[in-house]
Amino acid sequence: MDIAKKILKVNVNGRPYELLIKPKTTLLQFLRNDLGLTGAKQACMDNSCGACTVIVDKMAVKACSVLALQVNGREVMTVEGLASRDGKLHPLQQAFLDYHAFQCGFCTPGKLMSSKAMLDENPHPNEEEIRRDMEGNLCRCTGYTQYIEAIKAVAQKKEVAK
Amino acid sequence: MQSSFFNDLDGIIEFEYLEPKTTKEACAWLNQYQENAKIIAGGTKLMASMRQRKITPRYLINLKSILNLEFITADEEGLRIGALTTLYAISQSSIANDKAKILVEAIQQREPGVNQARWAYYMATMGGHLSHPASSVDIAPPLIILGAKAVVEGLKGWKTIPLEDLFDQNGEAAFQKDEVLTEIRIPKLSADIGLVYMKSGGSSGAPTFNTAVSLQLDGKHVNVEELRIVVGGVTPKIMEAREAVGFMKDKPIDNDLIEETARAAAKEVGGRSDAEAEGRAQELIEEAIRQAVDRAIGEFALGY
Ligand SMILES: Cc1cc2nc3c(=O)[nH]c(=O)nc-3n(C[C@H](O)[C@H](O)[C@H](O)COP(=O)(O)OP(=O)(O)OC[C@H]3O[C@@H](n4cnc5c(N)ncnc54)[C@H](O)[C@@H]3O)c2cc1C
Ligand code: FES
Ligand code: FES
Repeated sequence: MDIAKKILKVNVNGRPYELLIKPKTTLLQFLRNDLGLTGAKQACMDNSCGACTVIVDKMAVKACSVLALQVNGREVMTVEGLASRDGKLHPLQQAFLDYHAFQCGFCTPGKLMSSKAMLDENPHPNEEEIRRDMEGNLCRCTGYTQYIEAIKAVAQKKEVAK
Repeated sequence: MQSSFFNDLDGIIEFEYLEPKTTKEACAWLNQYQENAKIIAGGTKLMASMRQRKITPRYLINLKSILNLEFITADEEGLRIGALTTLYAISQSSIANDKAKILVEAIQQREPGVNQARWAYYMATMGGHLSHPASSVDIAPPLIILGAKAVVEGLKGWKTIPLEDLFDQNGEAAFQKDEVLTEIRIPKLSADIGLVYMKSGGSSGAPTFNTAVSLQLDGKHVNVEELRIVVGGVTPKIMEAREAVGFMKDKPIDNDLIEETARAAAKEVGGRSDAEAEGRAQELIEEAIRQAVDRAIGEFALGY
């Protein structure tokens, strides 16, 4: 069967794209292979680990488990879009550095995107809420302490700034 | 060919992605391609089934290209929720919180599990949940006691199906393979009905049970006029305890009767479950009835 490619119109990290893709392309494949945005990582591929997490219209989504065509017309943000254009790190990125919240860094893009979506929705989570919200992002190196501290620090700063 | 670890969906056969403009068009394709076609709504279950090669559709029909399937509205008759509305949207909706609080409570109690996969909570739709007995187990019980009906559209027109009749004894959907669930209608209910949803997580891997209870008292808050008890998770099918409610109907509220009703209801819905499961179900139902009495009495409740 000769399968028709479909047009995907999507905005990624503030830039509009219009590409012809095979319907079975996942969002993760599209970002990594078609756009060269390799920040979102390919790991378990069965929505368990969170390494592939990106933000679609403010929601943290597992890019391995969504078809690219499902985000047609929507806004996607990957870790590449997190720092400002002049290179200034996002407060979460800075806090992850300050708190040594990673070793190999493979899980970090996913963790950053999950925590950004969480803080955008709930700017002042308590530790229990942070732990619960980050359950879907696994790490095999660092353990689960430093990045919780990093996220807490950003949440507290937001509170002070307010 | 089996895909390699990193090939993802590459190893599966190609599929055509169809974007109907109307429900009729979607039904026509379902009818034309039969087993080879599948609807995609949130895709959270479908993608997993495709990856595990449980299904290998040649055509995916994207319901999201149909404009009017994502909505929450209320009018004189009650609340209407479009099939493509996500559970997240329902839990955030002020209309749903106002008119069907118990449904929102059920969705929110799902959250600890779904949080582990927060994306599924954002993406999964009402229609997707109600398309299979297993994924409907959390939200069907509250919908049943709210008296909800599913609107199903096919090539010949549309029909409504009471939620309790959505699946038969074997778990087969009451609607045909070329029909699409388009919305849920929840009638307006009187404010003095006590509605309660409760969930009990089993220890060491035992399944989670849930129950939805509705209870209405007479004007003097003495006799139980109406009582419904629906239980999910104890058996594969969602069960309503129809006989056990007879213990309390048209009788004054009474502690012994609540216990007796809960015991009988747990037995009735339990199928062949063991004593431990039956005991857990009984406890859950008993607590839900007590809370429903309080809610039915409202601000003057002293705590039953
Ligand atoms: C990580 C994860 C965690 C989960 N946790 C829970 C949980 O805690 N509790 C729980 O109950 N469930 C849970 N689920 C299951 C989830 O409920 C299902 O994946 C979801 O209900 C499917 O909805 P969807 O919109 O994504 O449907 P899809 O995956 O798009 O479709 C599922 C099936 O329904 C059919 N379908 C969809 N919409 C319609 C329609 N309108 N009319 C007719 N047929 C239709 C499709 O053809 C397909 O066969 C979880 C799933 C995941 C992936
Ligand atoms: S690669 Fe997507 S969740 Fe693990
Ligand atoms: S830092 Fe290596 S997996 Fe998390």
